[in-house]
Amino acid sequence: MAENALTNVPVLILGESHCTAISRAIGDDIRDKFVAVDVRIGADTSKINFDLFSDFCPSNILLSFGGTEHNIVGLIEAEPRFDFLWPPFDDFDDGRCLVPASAIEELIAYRVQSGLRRAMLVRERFSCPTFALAPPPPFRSIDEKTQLPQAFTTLLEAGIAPPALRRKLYAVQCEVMRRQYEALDIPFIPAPATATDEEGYLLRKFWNRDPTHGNPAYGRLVIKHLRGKFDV
Amino acid sequence: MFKRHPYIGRPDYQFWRKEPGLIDMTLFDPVGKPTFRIAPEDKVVTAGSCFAQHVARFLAQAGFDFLVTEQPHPILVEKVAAQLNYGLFSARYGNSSRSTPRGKGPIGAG
Repeated sequence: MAENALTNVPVLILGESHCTAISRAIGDDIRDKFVAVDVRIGADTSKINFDLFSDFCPSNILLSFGGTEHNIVGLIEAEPRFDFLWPPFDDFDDGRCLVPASAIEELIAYRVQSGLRRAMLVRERFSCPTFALAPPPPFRSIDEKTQLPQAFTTLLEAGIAPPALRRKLYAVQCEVMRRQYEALDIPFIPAPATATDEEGYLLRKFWNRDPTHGNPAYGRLVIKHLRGKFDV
Repeated sequence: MFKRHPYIGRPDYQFWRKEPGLIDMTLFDPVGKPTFRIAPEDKVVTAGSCFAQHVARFLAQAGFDFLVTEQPHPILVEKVAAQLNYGLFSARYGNSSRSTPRGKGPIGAG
């Protein structure tokens, strides 16, 4: 019996929840250039449905696994409230408990491991050049339309951590991801600079109700960013 | 000229040749008479090598007050806190056996 022919695609983006914004942004005009697949089985991040992308023969793959670890560490206020030093940011709140930056770094590195393992399971299916995508930058503040993911809503009573702290946690996350992926010869692609305001917060137009995930407009911005990078 | 050395004036139990346990093993006392005692309410601080870690652990298990001044923030999961040397010694100065010459460091430095 003949095997199914593989579909050639210049850029195949594989990942989890952050991949969804990108997949929703891929219109008919670029469907032959970009394919984005959320590889989860349902919302279970521990399992990968390899069948979802087995028919593709990509020229490049982009990995978008995990990415919410910075939120897990510090989206919701912890007790005692903490802060840490992370240059070039100089917004340390000395009314808060100081946690060593190395401890924050180690913690995020530990949490990122799970997504990295899944990313590597996907990567080993391909021999083409591979890249890793940064998650969306942190939001500045919530509003009346905001609906946090369920994992956070039960904790919301404690309050949302200050944006300056969350911005540092995101910076640590990107630095940790960059280091870990580059150690595996996978270049790390930061979020588009135009996705944020001058202080590094995700512009309100790039998220809908859930501030921890980008919306299709964010996905379109990422695609635009990638089109320039991959010349497609 | 007579050279003085550090063993002059030391008590008998610090010399193997005077060790009564060599003749009668029941008399062997590897510790000797301590010059101080630690009460359960005394705060004990440790620093040094893995030997100091063992001392700290056994003191804590035996109900002594092993003072740990640097506690991990609750956001740090146990595994990460252990990797970062929280609770290993009284503070996170790490295992100092490589930076302290053997026998010249604080009590417990190996």
